[in-house]
Amino acid sequence: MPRIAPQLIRSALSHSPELAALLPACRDLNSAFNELRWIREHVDKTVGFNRKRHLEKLCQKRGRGVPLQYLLGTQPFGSLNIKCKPGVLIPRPETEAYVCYLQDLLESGNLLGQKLSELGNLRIIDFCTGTGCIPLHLFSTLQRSVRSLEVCGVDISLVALELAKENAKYNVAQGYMASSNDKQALSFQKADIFRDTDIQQFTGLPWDIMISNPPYISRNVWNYGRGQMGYSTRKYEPRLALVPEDDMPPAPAGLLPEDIFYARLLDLAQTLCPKILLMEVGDEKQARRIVQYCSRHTFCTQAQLTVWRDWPDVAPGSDKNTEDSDFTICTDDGKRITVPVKGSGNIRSIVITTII
Amino acid sequence: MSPAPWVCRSCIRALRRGPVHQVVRAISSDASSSSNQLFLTPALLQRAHALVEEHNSLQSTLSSSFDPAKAKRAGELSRVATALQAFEKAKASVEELSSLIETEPKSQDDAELASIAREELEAERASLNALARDLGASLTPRDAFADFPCMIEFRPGPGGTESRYFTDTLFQMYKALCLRRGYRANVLKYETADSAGDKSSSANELPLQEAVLEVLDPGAYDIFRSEAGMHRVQRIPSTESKGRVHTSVSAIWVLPLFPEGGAGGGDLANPDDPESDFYINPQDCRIETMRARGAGGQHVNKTESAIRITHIPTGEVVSMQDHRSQQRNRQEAWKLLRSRVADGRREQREAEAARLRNSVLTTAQIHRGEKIRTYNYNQDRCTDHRAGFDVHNLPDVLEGGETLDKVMTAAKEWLVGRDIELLTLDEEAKAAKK
Repeated sequence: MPRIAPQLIRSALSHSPELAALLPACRDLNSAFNELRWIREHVDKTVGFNRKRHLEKLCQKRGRGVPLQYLLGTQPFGSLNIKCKPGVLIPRPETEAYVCYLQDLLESGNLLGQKLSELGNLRIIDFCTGTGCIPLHLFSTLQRSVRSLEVCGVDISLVALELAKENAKYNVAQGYMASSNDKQALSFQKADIFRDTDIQQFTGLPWDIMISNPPYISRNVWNYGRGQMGYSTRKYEPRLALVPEDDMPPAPAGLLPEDIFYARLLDLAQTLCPKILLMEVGDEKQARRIVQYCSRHTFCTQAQLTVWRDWPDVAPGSDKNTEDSDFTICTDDGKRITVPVKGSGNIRSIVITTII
Repeated sequence: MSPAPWVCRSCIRALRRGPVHQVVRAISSDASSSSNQLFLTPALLQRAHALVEEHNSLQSTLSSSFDPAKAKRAGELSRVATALQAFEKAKASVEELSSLIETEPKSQDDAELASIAREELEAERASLNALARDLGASLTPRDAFADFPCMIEFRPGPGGTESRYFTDTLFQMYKALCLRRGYRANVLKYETADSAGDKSSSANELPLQEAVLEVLDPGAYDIFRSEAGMHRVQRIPSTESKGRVHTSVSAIWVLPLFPEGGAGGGDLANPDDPESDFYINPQDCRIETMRARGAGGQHVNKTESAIRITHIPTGEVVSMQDHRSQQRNRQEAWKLLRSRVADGRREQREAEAARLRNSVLTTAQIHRGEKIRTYNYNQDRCTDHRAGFDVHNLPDVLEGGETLDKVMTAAKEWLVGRDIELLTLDEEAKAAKK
C-alpha cells in the first residue's frame, strides 16, 4: 500500500483532526469527507451526549481499518437497510448491482419468458446468504407482483443466520417490507451445502431461481494479498465467508481449490432444477475456469450462459478495449464457445439460464 | 464675547456654498415598466369575453353529459369567469358613480350626493384596478409546472471562496424559510469544496460547491419560481484583510420536480411518456460509477458510492455521492437530471415564444445571467431589482423570516405583471395580424 502523501494529511488536518484520522482507511480526501459526514450523521442520530468524543473515537477506529458498516451498524442494500455485525460478511455494492438487475429482469419478464404478474408462484433459494441481503431484497421487491412467493436463505454460520433473521424483523419494523404470511414466505435455514443430508430438506419441490455468493478468494491471495486483498476486509471480516476451507473435498480437474463451491453448486442445481442459476465470481480468470467446467457439466447441456460485469445495466464505459462484449473459451474437445458479457466493470457473476 | 473660532479657508469657502445636496444613487432596476397602473387593453378584454363564452357553453353541455376533458377545461376557465364578473361589476359601479358626479346638481341633496359619490369613486377605482389585475392574471396561461413540487439548486458564481460562503448563506436562508412555512424540504445534495485550506468562515459558512434542496409540497414550483436567477452580495468578506467591500454572485435555479407516485400534474406527469418534459431516453445517457481499482467484490470493502450521469443531447451532467447506497444515489441523480432537462425544455419553449413575439419585448424576458436581487450587508438592505423593491433588516431576510416573505411577494407580483404584459402584447400582435 503506498504511503499517504504528507500534503494530503496536512490539508486534512487543516479541516479537522477527525478527517485526518480517517485518511489511512479512505486513502483520499473526497471519500474521507463523505465518511466523516456519514459518521457525524450517525453520531447525531444515536448519541445524546458527549458527541465530539464519540465522533473522535469512531473516526479513530475507522482509520485503523474497522469497516464503516460495522461502526454504523448498517449498510443500505436496494431500498432496505441491512444490519451488519462482526463475523458476517458486509454486503458489497457489486452484489447489490446484480441483484437489482436480476430483479429488473424478472419483473420485465425478459429472463423467465413471462411477466411476474402472469406467473403464479416463484421459489427462490440463496446459498451462503450471510446477512440475508439477497433474499431480503428479492422478497421485498417481488412481494408486490408475485402472489405466491417463497424465498429461502441458507448459510452454515449460526451468527449469520441470527443476523439474517434479525434483519428480516428489523426491515419489517422499519416499514421497508411486509412480513411474510402463508402465501409469501421468507425463511432462513442452516445447512452445510457439502453434506447431502443437509440438502435433503430443499429437494422436495423444484426451485425457480438459485443464487449464491460463495467464498471465492484463494488461500494464496488471502495470505499474501497479491495486491488484491483490502486491508480492512482481511483483518475484520470473517474468513469463513471469503475463503473455501481446507476440509472441503478436492476440486475436480480443471478447477482450483478456490472454485470448489461452484462445482458443488452446479451439482446442487442438478437436483434442485432451477430455471436460473446466478453465481458471483472473483475475477475473469475464475469466470473462465468455471465457464469451461460448465461446458462439461450435465446441468449446462441445455443451458445458456451469460457473464455479467460489476454494473450489468451500465453500458461499457470509456475503456472499451478492456471491456469486451464477449469472451471465448476452448472446451476439452477442441470446440470454441463464446459467452456474452454484459455491463461495465470487472467480471462479477455467471448467469445460467436453462432453456425450457 | 469670545472671539470667533479660527476656520480654515477652504472650510469657509465650503460653508459659503451652502448645504451640499448629497447625490443618492437610485437603485438600478428595470421595474419602471411594470408600475401599479395596469390597463386592460381592449384585446385582452375581448379574449376574456371569448373565454367566458366558452366557459358558459361548456357548462351547459356539461350539465347534460359529463366529459372529464371538458370538465377540466371548464375548471380552468372558471377562474377567468369569476374574475371577469367581479371586474364588470366594479366597472358598472364606477360608471354609475361617475355619471352621478357629471350630472348637473339640481338641488342641495344632489350636490351632497355628488360629493359622497366622489369619495366612493376613489375607492371603487382602486378596487377596479386590483380587479383588472386579477383578471389579467387569470388570463395569463398558467405555468405548466405550477402544481409541481420543485428543486432549488444553489451554485456559487465566479468569485472564489467568498461567493461559495454566500451561497451557503442563501442555502440556509431558503432552508429556514421552508422550515418556518412548514414545507417538506429535503437536502438532496450538499457538496462543499474540499480544496486544501478551505475552512468555515467566521459566520459559520461552509464553502459550498453545489447544493440541491427539494421541496416536496405540490405547487412549490409556483412559489419559488420567482426566486430563480443571480443573487448578488455586497459585503466585506471574512477573508478580506483590508476591509474592502466585495461583490459576488450566486446562482439559484428553480427546477420543476416530477411528483412522486405520479400524483398531481396531468398529461406531462408520466416520465416514461416520450411526450413528457421529464422524459429521458436511457440510451442518451452515459452512466459512470467509481472505477474499480483492483479486484473488487469480496476482496475489498468499498464505501464510495458516487455516480455520474451525463445526458448527451443537452450535455447536462449530474453527479451524486451523498448517500451510502449507490442505488439511492442513482435514483436521486435521475431525479435531478429529469428536473434539469424539463427546465431546459421549458426555457426553450419560452425562448421560442419570445422569438415569435415582437422584438420589443425581449427586455421582459429573464435571462439566465441577469442579477435579480442584491443583499447589501453594509446598508442592511435587500433589493429585488425586477420589482424595484427594497427592504431593510437583512438579518431577518437571511434567517428566512417574514421580511423575506415581503421580498418574495414583491418578486411574485412582478412576475404576474410581466405575464400580463406579455399576454397583452401577444393579443395585440394577434389582433394586428387579423
